[in-house]
Amino acid sequence: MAKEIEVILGGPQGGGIETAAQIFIRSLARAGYYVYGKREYFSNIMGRHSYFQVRARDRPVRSVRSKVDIVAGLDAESIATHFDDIVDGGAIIYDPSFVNTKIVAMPMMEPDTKEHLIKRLKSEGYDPSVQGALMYAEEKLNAKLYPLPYKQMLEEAAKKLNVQSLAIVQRFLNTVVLSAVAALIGLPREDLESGLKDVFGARKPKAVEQNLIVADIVYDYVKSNFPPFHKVIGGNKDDNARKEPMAILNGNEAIAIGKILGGLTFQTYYPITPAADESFFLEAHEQLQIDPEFSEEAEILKGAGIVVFQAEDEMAAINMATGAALTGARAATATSGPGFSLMVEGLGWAGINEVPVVVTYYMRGGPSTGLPTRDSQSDLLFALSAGHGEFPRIVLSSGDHEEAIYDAVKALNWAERYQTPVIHLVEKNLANSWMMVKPPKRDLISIDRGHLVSDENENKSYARFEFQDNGVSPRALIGVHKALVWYTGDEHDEYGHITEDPVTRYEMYKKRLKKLELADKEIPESERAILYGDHDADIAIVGWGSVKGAVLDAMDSLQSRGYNVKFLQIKVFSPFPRNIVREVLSRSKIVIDIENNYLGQAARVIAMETGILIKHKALKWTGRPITESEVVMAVEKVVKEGAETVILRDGK
Amino acid sequence: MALMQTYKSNLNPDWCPGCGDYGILNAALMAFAELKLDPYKTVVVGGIGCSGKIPHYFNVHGVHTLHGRAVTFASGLKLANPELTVVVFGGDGDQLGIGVGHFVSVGRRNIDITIIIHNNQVYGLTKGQASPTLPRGIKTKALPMPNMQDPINPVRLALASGYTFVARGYAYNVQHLKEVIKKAIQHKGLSVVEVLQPCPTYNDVYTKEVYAQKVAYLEKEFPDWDPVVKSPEEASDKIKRAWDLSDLYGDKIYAGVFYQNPHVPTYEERIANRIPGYLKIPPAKVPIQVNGKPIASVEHILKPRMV
Ligand SMILES: Cc1ncc(C[n+]2csc(CCOP(=O)(O)OP(=O)(O)O)c2C)c(N)n1
Ligand code: SF4
Ligand SMILES: [Mg+2]
Repeated sequence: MAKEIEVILGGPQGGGIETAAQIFIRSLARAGYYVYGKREYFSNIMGRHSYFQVRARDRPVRSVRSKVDIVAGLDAESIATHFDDIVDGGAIIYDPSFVNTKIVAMPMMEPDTKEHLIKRLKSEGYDPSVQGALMYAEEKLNAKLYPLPYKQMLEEAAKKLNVQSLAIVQRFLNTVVLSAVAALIGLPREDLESGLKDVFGARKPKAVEQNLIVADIVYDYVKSNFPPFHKVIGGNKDDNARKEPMAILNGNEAIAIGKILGGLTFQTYYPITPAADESFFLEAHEQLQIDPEFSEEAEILKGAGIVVFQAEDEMAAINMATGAALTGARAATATSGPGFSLMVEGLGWAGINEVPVVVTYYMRGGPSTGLPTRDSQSDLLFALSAGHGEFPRIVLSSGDHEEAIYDAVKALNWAERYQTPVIHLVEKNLANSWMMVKPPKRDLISIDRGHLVSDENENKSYARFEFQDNGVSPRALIGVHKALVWYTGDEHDEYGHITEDPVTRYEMYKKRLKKLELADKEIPESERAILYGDHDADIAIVGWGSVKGAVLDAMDSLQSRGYNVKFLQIKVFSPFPRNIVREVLSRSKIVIDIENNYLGQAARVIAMETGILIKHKALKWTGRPITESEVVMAVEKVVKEGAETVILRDGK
Repeated sequence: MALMQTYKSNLNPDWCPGCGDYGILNAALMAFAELKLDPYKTVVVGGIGCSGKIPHYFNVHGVHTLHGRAVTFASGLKLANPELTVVVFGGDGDQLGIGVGHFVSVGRRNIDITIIIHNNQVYGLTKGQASPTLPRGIKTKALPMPNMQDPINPVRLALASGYTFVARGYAYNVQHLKEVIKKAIQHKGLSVVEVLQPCPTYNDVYTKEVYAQKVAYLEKEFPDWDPVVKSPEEASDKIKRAWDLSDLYGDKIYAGVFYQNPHVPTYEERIANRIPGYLKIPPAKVPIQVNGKPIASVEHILKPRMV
């Protein structure tokens, strides 16, 4: 029988949920499962509700569903928030002392959230408290309740660990809750141990030991005090065990790894969620390591590294990266909506000056500061048109972590090949989710530095923007080649000197934009739009970015419900793969556009580029990623009811 | 003079007759020539304004950037390839108005670049609005009403921001300005030269006649003048003295080198402390591929993440 489990681990921000979830994810992976986990949190450092949703099964998994098997909370607010996020018959793990907590008395819950919750419970005839929430879950959702006395567990732990004060063992609260979940699903102790070792590492053998002592107490208690949960999945070591070695990465790490492989040597940033972790990660790995195949280079490159620079703002960030790119360094910056808004003028400068600079753009909820820590796909149109005037840009998006690695390399390659800015669009949902990734294959990765001047000798007549049929002029690098270059944000002649001459303007303008036509010719459309599933299926879902995971995961259950669905993932929006998109959409009876925004931005781009108007859309703008369940629901609504717009609202 | 010509591009500046920018350009050309800068390793970075166009008039690499942002491009160029000599030219509006955040921030880093401020107290290229260095109550030619904002003193802002070389020159004393620019470029660390730059077209208040009367030279007025910090403890006294003498609105306006502190590590040295190969193989020079194959390895990153 297929094995699958999905769990919400909730608690106050800073309360250890993050660590518990990392241990859980790795334990499940060590137990032989494929695992996916996403983190939801407030723009807050301590106290507000945060949670991890972790899903594991015996085949690849890339998304979450709307309802989970188990909700486990470190605090009362977690239970009040997620009591109705369980499937029928799901489990809730909590401390019995939570039940008396009134929703109105939860200090960190936002007033409007309280109001919505109180109203809801009251209208269903339940007390607005954890008690009422649990009763609701029991009566309406057949919830199995697991009141685990957290304090008693910690007291026992204190005894076993030989510590006097309860305050010290308090930090094991996350392990208590995690262990309860592990016990419920029958996760073998040895796998939990491996998970602990993975997270704490060889450096902290004591932490592993202590946490295991805590885990044993909880495992014992759960076993002797509760009836078994109906979904005991145990380990997954037999036939269905995952065989391939994989890496667990979050999106920030995936992109950083791609950038390092792609030869990035200069990264700038100004701190912003959810982009900053990428730069931190790069800085932590600033010392270059060279593949053993290249021992000669390794000798030369001893001690070389990547410069990661925290700038004073995003204008400085993009312009510094641009300056670095002029010298030949592969340069990039990473940001999110507010930061990209500030970068726009610099982007235009890079555009008119044909500078290969990469912006990794982590979308989050806007406008303005919007939802700083929540998911969104609402910046596609912005990325495509940011900046006054017209200039070529490549806009590519990644659907998951594995893609993101290769796309980060592509972004750096395309920037140099087409001598123009590349915007790599990803989302908060990629940044803050953990996925199992096949380690990048070196032979699938190549480096293309584009058209550089080949002549080492002095070239006094060099013209940086020399007219070429395909628009690409050989690039001389400042400080490397013996050829002088001038750059200006004004329109310029072939030498890079300011001009307002209409004839030169005509030619230079055209030359720049021709490069986008070249990219359109050279980059196969099959790399820019990818079709999954049965090519002859009647129903086509169109989506991009992290919608991919939810749709691919949904395809199986759609199949079993009798819907034959294919999925067209658009990866590159500029230059747009119009032929494939036109072809696939015109061959499908029903087309559904699924996006995490209000306007259906990709559908608008499709209309603009192909003239095809997509009638059915499933849209979401709550700041939470689209779930597998929502995709299934949306397809059913469209097919059965002919719904034109399906609004998605799941997730807390 | 002949040598200077080799640093001059074949373009003619389009500044108004009598503009102080000509003096600044000539002083810089002479300084470059006397320092024998390698044109292929020298970058002039300009902001936006009348002054900002200056990169096009040099026969070295020229990068004419965005309004206020010249310093950011320059920082990227220098840190990606520390072999380069990078000199930034920009207006007072450019560097102390729209770009003042960068002007201050770069002071924390002591990147080894030189910044020249063309202080004409107006926004030249947008037709004479008040710049951040124009005093309150002053009405220059184009202003419809007197200026209502107080002025920034560029020297003092630089001193407060951590610049390790702070000087002032006068656009019409080209010889003196040349010497100051030379010292600024030779200084290892972040240097700034504020240049009093008459704008005959829009600034009818701070004219060359006024400056002719007021500009005085530190080294002449104070025979024992020594702006160089000999030991780190001396820095604050030297900053105070520089501060006191850098007023712009008294009877005298002093020009010369106000302050020079060689004891602060450059940003490049700070990077090299962490990345030992940085100065030898900076980001611009890392051979990232062999026959199209990437040479970087990520095995050490993946290993602890493998399951
Ligand atoms: C973002 C932006 N805002 C406004 C302008 C218009 N602008 C061009 S030059 C200039 C002022 C230049 O004054 P200053 O920096 O003092 O240089 P000057 O012309 O006096 O040498 C302004 C505001 C611009 N180019 N960019
Ligand atoms: S407006 Fe003033 S600063 Fe600009 S070129 Fe004319 S004189 Fe020089
Ligand atoms: Mg000015």
